[in-house]
Amino acid sequence: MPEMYTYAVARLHASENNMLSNQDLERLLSSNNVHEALAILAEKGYDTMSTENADAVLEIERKKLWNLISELVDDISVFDIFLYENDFHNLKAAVKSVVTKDYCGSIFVSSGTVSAETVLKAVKEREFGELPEFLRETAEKAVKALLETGDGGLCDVIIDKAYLEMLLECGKKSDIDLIKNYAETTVALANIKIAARGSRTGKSAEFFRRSLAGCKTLDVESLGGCAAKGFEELLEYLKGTDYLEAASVLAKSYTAFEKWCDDRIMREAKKEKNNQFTIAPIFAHILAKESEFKMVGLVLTAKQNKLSEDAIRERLRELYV
Amino acid sequence: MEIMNGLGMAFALLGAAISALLAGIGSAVGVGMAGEAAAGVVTEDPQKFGKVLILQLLPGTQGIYGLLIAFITLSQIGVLGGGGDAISLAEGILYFVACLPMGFVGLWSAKRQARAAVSGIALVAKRPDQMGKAIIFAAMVETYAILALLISILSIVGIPALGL
Repeated sequence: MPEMYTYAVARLHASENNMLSNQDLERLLSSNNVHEALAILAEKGYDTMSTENADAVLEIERKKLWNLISELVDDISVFDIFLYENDFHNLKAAVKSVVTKDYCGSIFVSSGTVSAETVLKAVKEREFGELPEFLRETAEKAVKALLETGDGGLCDVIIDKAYLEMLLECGKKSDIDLIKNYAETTVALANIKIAARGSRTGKSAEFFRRSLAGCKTLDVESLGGCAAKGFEELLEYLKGTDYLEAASVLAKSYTAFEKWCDDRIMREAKKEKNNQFTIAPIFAHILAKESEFKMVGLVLTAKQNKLSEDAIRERLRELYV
Repeated sequence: MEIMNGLGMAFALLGAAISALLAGIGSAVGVGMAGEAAAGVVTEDPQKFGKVLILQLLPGTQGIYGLLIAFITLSQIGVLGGGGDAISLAEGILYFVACLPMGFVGLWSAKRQARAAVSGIALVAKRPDQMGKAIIFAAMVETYAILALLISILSIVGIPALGL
C-alpha cells in the first residue's frame, strides 16, 4: 500500500529544509578555517558540540539519519543496498589484517549489515559460516587468493567484483525503479572507472575479465577488450553506449569523471523528489544525505589541510536541494 | 401496490445511504492521508500546523456534500420531518439514481483531492510562502464534487414535479 509512506515522505521533505544547499556549500567553502565551517554546519543542524573532528561529526550525522529512517520505515532491510559497501570494505580490511597479521581498528567502518567484529572474527578463525551468505564464498576466495599469491590487488578485485554483483542482485530483486536504476548505474559506472584506471596503467584483458561485473547497459567483454587495447579505444567504445557523455568527461580528467558519475546518480534521485506515495523519495533522501556528508567531509578535510578553494571546487557534487 | 411502494422507499433510502456512505468513505480516506502528511511536516516544524491543517481539511468537504444529499433525499421522501406520501417504485429508482453522482464523484474526488493536498503539504513544507497556490491546486478538484452535488440536488428536488 503506497500510502503507508505518506507520513515518512512528508517528514523527510520537511527535514530537507535543513539540508545543505549550493549556497550553504559556497559559504562552507569560503570559511576561513574548520571552526568557521563547523559553525555553519551547526546552523544547519549538525551536532558539532560534542566533537570538532570531521569524521566524528559525520559519524554522528549518519547515525541520526539511520535512526530517523528506522523510525519511519518498519523494514529497513530494503535500504541494505547502501550498507553492503561497508560490509565488503570490512571484509577487505579483515582479510588483509588477518593475512598480514597487522590489526588496525581504524580501517574498519561501523555501519554495515554485519558488525566489523563478526567479519574479523570469522576471517581470523576461518569460520566463514558465521558470515552472512553473501559474504561467505567471497571471504573464502579472497583469503585463499591472498595466502596463495600474496597479491593484495587480486584480493581487492575478488571482493570489489562480489560487491558489484551483490548490488546488481539487489537491483534485480527490487520492484522500485529508483533502486533498479541506482544498482545498474552504480555498477556500470564502477566498471567504467575500473576500465579507465586499468587502461591508463596498462592492465591485461585477463585483469578486466576478472574485475568487471556484467551489467545490462554495458557489454563488459567489449569494455574490457577495448580498455586492454588502450584509453582511446575505451573512449571510442563508450561513445557507442548509454554512457556517451562519460567519454567526453573522462577525456578531460578522472576527477571530472568521478564528479559526473555522482551527479548522474543524484539527478536520477531528484526525479523521485515529488513522488509522495512510494518509498523512492526515502531512498533518494538517503542518497542525498550521503552525498551531502561526502561534500562536508571533503570541505572539512580540505580546510584542515589548508587546500585551495579551486582544488575543492572541482570536486564538489550537485546537491539534492 | 404496497410492495411496490415499499420497494420505491427502499430504493430512495439506498440512494441516500450510498451518497452518504461513498462520499464519507472518500473523505475519511482523503483526510486521513492528508493528515499523515501533515503530521510528518508538523513533526519537523510545528509552526506549520495552521498551514497544513487547511490542506488536510480540503478532502473532507465531499463527506459533507454526501450527507447533505442524504438529508435532502430523506426529507423529500418523508423519512425526515414526516408527513410524506408513499412513493412509487419509479420515484424511488429516480431518487436512487439522483443520489449516485454525489456518491461516486464524492468518493473519487476526495481521494484524488487528498493526493493533491499531500503534494500541496510537501510544497508548503519546503516553501511556506506558496501556500495559496498549494490550496488552489487541491481546491480545483473540488469543482467536480460541487458539480456532482448540484446535479444530485437539482435531480432530487425535481423528482416530485414529474408526478410519477
